[in-house]
Amino acid sequence: MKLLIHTTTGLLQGMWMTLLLSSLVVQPASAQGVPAGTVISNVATVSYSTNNLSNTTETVEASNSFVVAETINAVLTSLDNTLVVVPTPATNKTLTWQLTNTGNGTEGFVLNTIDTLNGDDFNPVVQSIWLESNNIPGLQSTDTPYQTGNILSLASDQSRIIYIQSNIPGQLNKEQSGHVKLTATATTPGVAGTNPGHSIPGAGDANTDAVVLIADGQTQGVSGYTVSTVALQLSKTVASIVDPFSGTEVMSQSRITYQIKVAVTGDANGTLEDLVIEDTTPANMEYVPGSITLNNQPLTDVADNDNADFNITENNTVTVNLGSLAPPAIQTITITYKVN
Amino acid sequence: MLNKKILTTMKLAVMSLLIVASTGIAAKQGNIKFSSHAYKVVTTKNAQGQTSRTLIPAVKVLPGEIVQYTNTFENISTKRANNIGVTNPIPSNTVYIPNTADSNGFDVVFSVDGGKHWGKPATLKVKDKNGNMRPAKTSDYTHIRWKYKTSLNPGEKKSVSYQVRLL
Repeated sequence: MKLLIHTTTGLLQGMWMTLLLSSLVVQPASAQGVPAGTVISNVATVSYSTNNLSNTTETVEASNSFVVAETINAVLTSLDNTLVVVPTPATNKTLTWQLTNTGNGTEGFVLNTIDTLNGDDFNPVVQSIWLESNNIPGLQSTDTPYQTGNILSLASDQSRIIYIQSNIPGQLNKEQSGHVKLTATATTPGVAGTNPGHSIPGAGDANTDAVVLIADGQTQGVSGYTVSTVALQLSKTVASIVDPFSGTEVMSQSRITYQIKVAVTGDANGTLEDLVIEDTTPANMEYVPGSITLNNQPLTDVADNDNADFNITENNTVTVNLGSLAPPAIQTITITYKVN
Repeated sequence: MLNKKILTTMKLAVMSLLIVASTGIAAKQGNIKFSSHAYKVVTTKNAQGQTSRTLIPAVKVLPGEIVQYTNTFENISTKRANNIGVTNPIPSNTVYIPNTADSNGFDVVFSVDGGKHWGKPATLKVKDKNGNMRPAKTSDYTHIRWKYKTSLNPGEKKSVSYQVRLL
């Protein structure tokens, strides 16, 4: 079952959330220039003739070289399009960042968060920082926890996704926001207290000078949470089983009816918009034609104005578009499948 | 004659090995003394907002910065030197900056094919990804060559410069 949901509480108009599906798109960064330590050589040749040796050309070569110095530079990008919507209270709500080494050498970074910023309505309480490491979009328990002081090493142009998990206090009002600052600081000794352009002799890759392009060798960003008191509860249960012998055994040809219950609670001034329920036919089962009901009213399988279909919006899937729902609201969908 | 030419070439090969690590030192004492130097071009703004450019030795150079190469040749013999040409492959990881090659007193040509063919900028063409010929960009240039239009008298010194941007 997949749920597409569009919430509106005034502040949050136009923001899409996709529940149960993560969609992280990591943009490749552009190249950051010639790597630190590269030797740039210039070799020129002069040719000439002197008049007592006509037709004889002599040549002389001259050369020089220098080594490309290291730039220390980095960018933090929030991958949350806007403030992350949270209920009150809540635990372990995730903010998503991407750190990119935009210098031309390999650099280590340490991460820190500040959750007691001024200018917002409440203080989220940061619980943990995680590094994306299992290549599955989104934060899972198999990603890598980041411990204070750990060094995140990035080659030039390399990026890493960072997750921050915070708890949200209770008793907040809707649309209140709480911010968290994330900093990433280069670990090259001597970056503290420097202004952009400051050079640290011998601190770069291949013993080149390192030139700090960000003050204190540090990049930072602020993102955060906003409270929505509109809440959605979903449940999917088996409503009935009818076997070919009028019993209730699960066997070939048994008909299983699922009930999907959608409950919207909370602030009556908020709404959930564009709520779409999709239910894909389970493996080894077959959809029973004409079996969709919404609040006990049958809906057709074809594309028409009843906002429900089978195998049209999505292959082999029942799609029910519930539209906008203002709390309190309860919608009950049933769908029947036959066991093959 | 042939033997002498081969000898000269071998000697040059040895010389160029020796000087790879040096920064701008004349390579060989012959009839012409020749040297090449690299400078970083630093643009500064004064309080009145006027910009000025200064050259400092290229020691610490960062991606995107501009480097000027200056090749200097001096006639240290007692004879006039004719047919003087300076050839300079554009260093790897850099691109030539348009209109920066000195042309006063020189005929300047460029190559986009590693020095096989030479021409003025407007005549140079390269193949695009579809195999069609298109006008060359300065980033396509592989070599610069200066031909000194006159003779160089004993004791006379001239130099040619060009600028590149470090990628």
